[in-house]
Amino acid sequence: MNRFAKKFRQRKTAVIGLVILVGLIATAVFAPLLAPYDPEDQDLRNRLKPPGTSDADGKVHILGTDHLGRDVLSRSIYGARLSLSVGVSAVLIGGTIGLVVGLMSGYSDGPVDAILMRAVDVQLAFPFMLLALTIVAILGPSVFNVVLVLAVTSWTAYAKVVRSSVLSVKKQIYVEAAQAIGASRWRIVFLHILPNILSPFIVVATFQVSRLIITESSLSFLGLGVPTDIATWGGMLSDGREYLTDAWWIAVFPGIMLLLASLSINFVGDGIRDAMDPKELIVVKE
Amino acid sequence: MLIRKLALAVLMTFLLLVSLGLATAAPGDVREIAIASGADPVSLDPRKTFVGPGYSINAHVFEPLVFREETNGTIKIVGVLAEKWENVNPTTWKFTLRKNVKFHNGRPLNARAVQYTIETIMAADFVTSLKQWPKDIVSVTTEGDHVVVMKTKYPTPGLLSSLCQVPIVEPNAAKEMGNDFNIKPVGTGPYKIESYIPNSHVTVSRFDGYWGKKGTYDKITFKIMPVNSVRLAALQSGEVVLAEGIPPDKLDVVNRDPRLYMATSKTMRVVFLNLEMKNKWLSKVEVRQAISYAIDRQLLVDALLCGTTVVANSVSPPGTVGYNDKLPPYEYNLGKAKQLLKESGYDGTVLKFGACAGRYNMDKQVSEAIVGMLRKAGFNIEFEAVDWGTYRPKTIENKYDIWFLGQTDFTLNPTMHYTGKFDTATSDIDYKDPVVDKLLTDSASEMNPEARAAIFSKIQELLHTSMPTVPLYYEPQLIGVSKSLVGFVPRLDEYVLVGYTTVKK
Repeated sequence: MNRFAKKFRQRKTAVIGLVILVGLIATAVFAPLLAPYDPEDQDLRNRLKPPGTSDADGKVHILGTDHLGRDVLSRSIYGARLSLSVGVSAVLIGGTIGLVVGLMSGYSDGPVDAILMRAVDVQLAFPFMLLALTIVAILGPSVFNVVLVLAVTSWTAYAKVVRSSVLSVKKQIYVEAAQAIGASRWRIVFLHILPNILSPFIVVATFQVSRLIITESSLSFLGLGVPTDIATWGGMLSDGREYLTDAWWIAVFPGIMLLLASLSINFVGDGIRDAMDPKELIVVKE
Repeated sequence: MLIRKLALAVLMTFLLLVSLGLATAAPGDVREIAIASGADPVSLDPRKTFVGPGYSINAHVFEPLVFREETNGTIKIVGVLAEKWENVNPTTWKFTLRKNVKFHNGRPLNARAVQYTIETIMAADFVTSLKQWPKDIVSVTTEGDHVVVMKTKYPTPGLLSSLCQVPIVEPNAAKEMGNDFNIKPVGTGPYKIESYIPNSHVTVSRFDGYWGKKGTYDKITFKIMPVNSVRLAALQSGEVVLAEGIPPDKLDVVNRDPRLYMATSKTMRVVFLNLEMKNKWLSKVEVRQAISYAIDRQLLVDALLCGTTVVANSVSPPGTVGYNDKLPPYEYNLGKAKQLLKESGYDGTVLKFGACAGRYNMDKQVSEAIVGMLRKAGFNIEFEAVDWGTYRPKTIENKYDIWFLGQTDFTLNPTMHYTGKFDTATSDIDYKDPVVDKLLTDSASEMNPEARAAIFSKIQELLHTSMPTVPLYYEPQLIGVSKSLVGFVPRLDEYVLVGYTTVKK
């Protein structure tokens, strides 16, 4: 673990990414304390006010107001909550499915492997966005449905990576040894194989978080994400699109937040990958 | 090879654009204009067109027997292809057609063309959404070449209004052309169809054999641009001289431009919330009234619609038969809303609120604002705004408890709106009110215009308190116009007519 931290610290971008990410997570967690106003509070008399204006009630809108007079700063802060939690929970669900499928498929040769991998191929052959749009269109927009869609459409990425790792790990001598002394399949898979394939899995999962945050925003942008009245970055971008020429701040600030989130997670992901790569470990002198 | 093909394609496109540019930018008299339309007409056969912008295009090409003429907000029905008409008896109408009217293919207009048009719309195997207009007609017969006799099921005072929506087509062309009649139909109007490329444009050219005043332009091109910002950009760049359906919050953007102005008018479309009576809470009149009291309509109109219309005081808009101008505007009173809601015993049950996005002016934004107002009053609302194609089926399947809609009869009679919402037998929100039913039955056969209008006024008065629908405002119409276009007047029926305008150099 120490070596991991050391290796991670050597990458400046990873550290910067981590700092930003921790900041964003803190923003999401402490949103009610940080946001100056209620993100849903409409004030039609003070709509489309530019950043820095203070209205008649003495409220200062640091990042301006949107088309319904809601505070853009407050909405961007609350948006972090939804976007991050949707991204993370979709990765948790999708990751679990992908991990289980990958383990089963990689460890058991023959028909189980073949069937599971063809299922993955079928899923991969289907355009991701089209599938997501179809599912949301049928189920209707809600936070849970979006998480479900993202999970259901993203598990293949893990399954493929996990399976190929399992294939190489299961040829290792310690696995053969465990088999030789008669350990059960479950024991071998979860105690001997799983710990040794976790690093590629974690790397994939990290990148998936940022990808899914963007996807959630895309769905919200298309009006098929979470219900339109909940503050999300994608929804704010969508609202702001109509006003880009006369009220740029509605779309620009959530856009920056989205960019920061996805960039920082990718930096952190790069850091984790490098720090966990066994080939790199040899080069690093203790 | 592929690259060469691509290069060729790019070059061709470029040349095409250049030639188009030269064609529209030619100096001298402006003989060709372009208009930005908001939706594809789908079919130009006026017996099938069911899209607002399609009506506008068709109105240059086809003519009905009679049509609405507006002067200072009052509407009168005047003869177009019909020179005169009379009620032989309450169920028999006799129309005398104008003589010397020619169709675009040179054939003369006669009584059989009228008969053919109406009979095909009514025919069971003819698929169209327009069967509502001639639905009361039982038979159409001809007396000689220029007299048409229509018999109705029962006395139908609204027949003239309905006939405004039935443009006459040329029977031989319709029979011979088959499906091509959707693309290049033949009518009697001042312009004829030149070309129609779906999702691209409709071009009409002047018909020199027109019986009345000849059109001003050699050609009018209706460019189909469904995206608001694209229409606005086309107007700003001078690509078009008029762009329909500009959102109200672009009022300033247009008016700031010295070369443009925004033509605004109210329409005969009332925007309202439908309340489903099947819902336990919405079936209570105090809950319905609480919803109305919770909505600050004036704020919606001032802030979101930028003052381009007025708040509603009735389920029907001014200009329609029997519009009750004595009803007070619906009051905004948050305290009263909360109190009524408390009295009703409302327990915080979730009410599903549905809205369409992009169908009416600011529909999504207005709905979001209303949801905010209702929540402030204590309602527990679940909100969804989706595109029209997804939304409309959901409203028909009663998927929402409260839903947003804008409705117009196009005619002066509110019959379609009233029967669709408030008649026990046909109400799509399951409203049951025997008194209103009785009044509706009476109105259907009342031939005396004043008595009929009085019945409609009475219905509006009843609905003002029972509130099965919550009227909000009358849909505004905003049309971005170049100042070089002279003589354009927006109409209450939302038709955009430019055939007799002129363009200054």
